Formats: sequence, C-alpha cells, structure tokens
Amino acid sequence: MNCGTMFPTFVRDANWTATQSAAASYIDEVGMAAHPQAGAPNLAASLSRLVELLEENGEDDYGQISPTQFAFLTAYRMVERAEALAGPGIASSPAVDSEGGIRISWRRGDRQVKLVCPASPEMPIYIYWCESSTDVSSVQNQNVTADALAEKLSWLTSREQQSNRRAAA
Amino acid sequence: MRRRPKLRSDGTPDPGDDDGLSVFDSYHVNPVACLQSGKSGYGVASLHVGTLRDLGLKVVRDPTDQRKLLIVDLPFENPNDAIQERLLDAVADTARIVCRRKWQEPK
Repeated sequence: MNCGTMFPTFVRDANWTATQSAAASYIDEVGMAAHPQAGAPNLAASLSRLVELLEENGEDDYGQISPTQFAFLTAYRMVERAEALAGPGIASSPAVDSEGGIRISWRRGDRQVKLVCPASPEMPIYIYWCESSTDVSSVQNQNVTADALAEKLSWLTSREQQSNRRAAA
Repeated sequence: MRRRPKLRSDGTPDPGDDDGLSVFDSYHVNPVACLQSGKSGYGVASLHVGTLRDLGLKVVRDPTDQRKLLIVDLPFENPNDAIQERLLDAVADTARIVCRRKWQEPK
C-alpha cells in the first residue's frame, strides 16, 4: 500500500473540514472533546446525541457512518418516550453500526441496557440487558416497545434508588 | 463486531468480516501506520491476544496480510443473542484506547 496516497487528514470540527495533515500530531492529541452538555437533563442529552449522528454522511472503511432514516426515527421515538417514562436516569450513548442501524447503551454500575435499532425493518429490533455481578443477561426481541425499554431503564437505577431510600429511612 | 456478508447494490458479494475481524498486529504496525492505512476513523484501540484467547476467541495470522491478525469467531454485529452480546461487551471492556481523534482522508 502506498502510504503517501493514504495519508490521513485530521479533522477538528463536526463538518470534517481538513485542517492538518501531519500524522505525528495525531498522537499528541489524546482525548476527544467530551461534548454532551454538562448539567442538561438526561433526555435532552440523549436526544441531542442521537441528532448528532445525522451530522455525518457517507461510508468509511467499516461501512455506513450515518444512520438510516428508519433506524433514526425508531431510535428517536423509543428513547424520547422511554426516558420520559423512566424518569431521571442516565443519558444514553448511541453509535451507528456498519449498516446504518443504531445501537444505544445505558450503563449504571455493573448494569447495562442496550437498544439495538436495525437499519431496516427486515432486521430485528431488540433490547439487551445484563448485570455482571450476578451473571444475568437476556435479550427481548418480541414486543419491543418504549414501555418495555422504560421498564429496563427503571431496572438500571432501581438498586440505587432502593439504597437511597434505605439511607434516608 | 464483525460485519455480516451481504450483496452490494450492484449485485456483487461483499464478504464483510466473514473470515474474522481484521486487526493490525502491534509488533508489525504502529498506531500512526494504522491511521495511514484507512480512509477515516475515530482513533486507535489495542486488544491483547492472550486476553482474547482467555475469552474463548480464536486469533490467527491473516493469510492475506502478514501485518494483520484475524479474530475468527468474534460475534457478528447485532447478534440478537445475550451470550454473544456479553462476549462483545467482554472484548470491548478489555480494549485500551491508544489515541482518539476523528480524521478523514482528503477526497
């Protein structure tokens, strides 16, 4: 492979404007900007992160870098309703898969919940959740609704709420 | 996660990561060279072969590129299966970020 022709250009802003072409400087820049708005409500942060996925277009070496319309609408509607139902919780972290689907994860302690929204309706949507300390994990791929997701998000923080109640009592 | 094989829009087959997830071997390629080999990315992460094998995964030399290794039986993306999702989480948890930076090859 001719490295001269493959030399990457580094990008500093969301519009992928090429500003630098020295590979060595890559190593100097450790730590991507932690962008989500500190102090913002979790639902707003979750939705904002989803919308940010639309800022990029096309494909890279791995596949799609922007979500399909189906994946985005599914994810947005599910997150908007489920986080509102579940109440104050944790902002989600979305990522685009190689087909343009969206995988969203919520983590608290040793518990994790993921919503997998496929790129197209032919592929299954599912919720995955696990608790590493008890070795419990499961997938729900039937009746995947915002209510079902809200139930899992409530589970994510339920132990913490119980211990807070005990401490208050 | 491995990409599934599929048909491209022009009808030609795309093998995806059918033979395994291809990764650079750090004994042969440094992080800067990793970046120079692709069109775009978000950074470089490292995985330890012994740890992957402890997780039950098979890691072999890529027969088509001696600078690379293949993680042969890493689950495909969106496996819709709790055991495979846990394995993906376990692999991700062992990954160490070498450097982060969004970049793209000029068009």
